[in-house]
Formats: sequence, C-alpha cells, structure tokens
Amino acid sequence: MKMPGTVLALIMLSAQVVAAPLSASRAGNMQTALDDLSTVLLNHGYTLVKVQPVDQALVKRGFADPGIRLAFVGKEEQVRQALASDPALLNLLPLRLTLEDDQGRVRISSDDLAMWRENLPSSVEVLQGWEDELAAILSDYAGQ
Amino acid sequence: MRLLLKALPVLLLSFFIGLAQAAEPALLTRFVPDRSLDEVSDTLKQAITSHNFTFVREQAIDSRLVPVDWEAKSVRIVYFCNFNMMDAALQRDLRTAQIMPCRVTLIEGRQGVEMVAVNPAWVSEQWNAPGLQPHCLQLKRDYLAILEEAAL
Repeated sequence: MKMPGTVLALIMLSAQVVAAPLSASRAGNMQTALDDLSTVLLNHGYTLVKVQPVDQALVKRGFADPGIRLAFVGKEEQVRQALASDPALLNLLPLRLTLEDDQGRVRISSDDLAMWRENLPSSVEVLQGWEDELAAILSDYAGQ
Repeated sequence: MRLLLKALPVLLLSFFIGLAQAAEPALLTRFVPDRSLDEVSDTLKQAITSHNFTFVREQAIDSRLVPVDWEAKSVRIVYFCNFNMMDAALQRDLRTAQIMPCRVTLIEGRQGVEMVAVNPAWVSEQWNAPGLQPHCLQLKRDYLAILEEAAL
C-alpha cells in the first residue's frame, strides 16, 4: 500500500518541478554587455535582431528603472526548423534574452525553453538544439 | 495505510491543482477566414489601441535574419504593450520580462489568417507562481478580447 502512495506523490511532485532558464553574468554595464553579447552572437552564427530598452521606455514615462533590457536573437535556419517541425515554435522566435543590471554586473537569461518541450513533444530535438546553442552563447558571454 | 490516509487530502489537493493547471492551453488562437495578412494586421492594431495597449512594432518572422526582399510574407509578428502593466509586472517578478512585450503572431494560409499568442496564464503555471496567476489571467483575458475584436 505504501508503494502506490509514494509513486503517486512522486508523480505529483514532478508535475510541480519548475525548470530554470539559462543564465550567465559578467561585470559591466548594459552597453558593454550588449557589445559583448553582439560579438558572441556573431561567433555562433546568430544575429541580434532587436534590442528592446524596457528600462529607458519606462523611465521616459515616469516609472522606476527596472534595469531590464530585452534582446531578440536568432538565425534564419530556426524559422525553417520551426515551419518543418511545428509552426507553434514560431511563437518563440526570434529567441529572447533578458539583460538585467545587477550592481556592476549584467546577468543575461534566456527564456525557459524547457517548459515547451512537454507541450511540443514532436519538437523536443529542435528545442534542445536551440537551448544548447543559447547555453553555449551564455557560457561564452560569461567567460569573455 | 494510515500514512496514506493522512496524506490523502494533500495528495488530492495537489491532484486537483494539477488538473486546474492542465486546463490552461499554452497558446491562444483565433482564425480569421477570407482575409489577408495586411487586413488582419490593421484590425489587430486597432483592437490593441482600443484595449488601452500601445502598438510597439510589426515585423516579419525572419526580419534582419535575411535581406528585406527575402523576408517571409506569410508570417508576421505584432508587438504591443501597456506601460502601467509592464511596470507593475516587473515590480512583482522579473521573470515577467519573458512575456514582454505582448505579442501576436499572424500566420497567413490559403483560407485566411491564424492569430496566435502565448497564453500568459499557462506561462505563470509553468513557473509555479500563484502570486502572478491573477495578473496573468487578466492579461489572458485582454489578449482574448483583442483577438476577438481583431477577428470581427
């Protein structure tokens, strides 16, 4: 009787596990972080599609500075992969990185792609590939 | 057996929470038949404004990844936001940056245009962030209202 209960509890607990996004940090400010990131992206065949200066947009309108900028990044190949695998993946492109100003350091985090793997089981390999590339990009950013 | 009975209420509660969570779809979609991408884009931008959001920008799915002339004509992204909501959300939890700015992807097919948005309520479920859920449910309602109006 103990066994089914334990198994049930484990199943329920596993459903509550929260995957963490990839993240890396290095000394600098937003501008140096964006410069460093641009270089790293190029080395990985990625393009910096757009920077969304959330911090500046909010300050300009009288709100507090959240110390956040968004960088949208990608590769042409990813659009083709999404169309071939599952068009739902298009909603994740271009991939988003969040830059967070953290007292003399800038932390860059990716969106949490792991949570999509369960939702799009036919695209697990594509998602894992993108995640691996983002992990390599963030690793290089941290180690620059 | 006694241990299992003791744990039963907690297990049942977890089970029903799990069921409730599973109820949120990952994507919100509306199909608009017999209209072009440009037409739906225009009505979507009007709906965004009428629901107190600000249109931010519109781009092809492969914008800046290929030369402008080669950009995909059938998949477009429309970004928008509400700065009050953005400020409040970031103060609550910096992870909300992952659902900013708001976005609808337009996919044109032979029969019409599909509008797709990631459901913020599904995202907050994945984060296991009950404190964010009421706000994400409100944002989901806003998305649905905008999609409905754009589809009229």
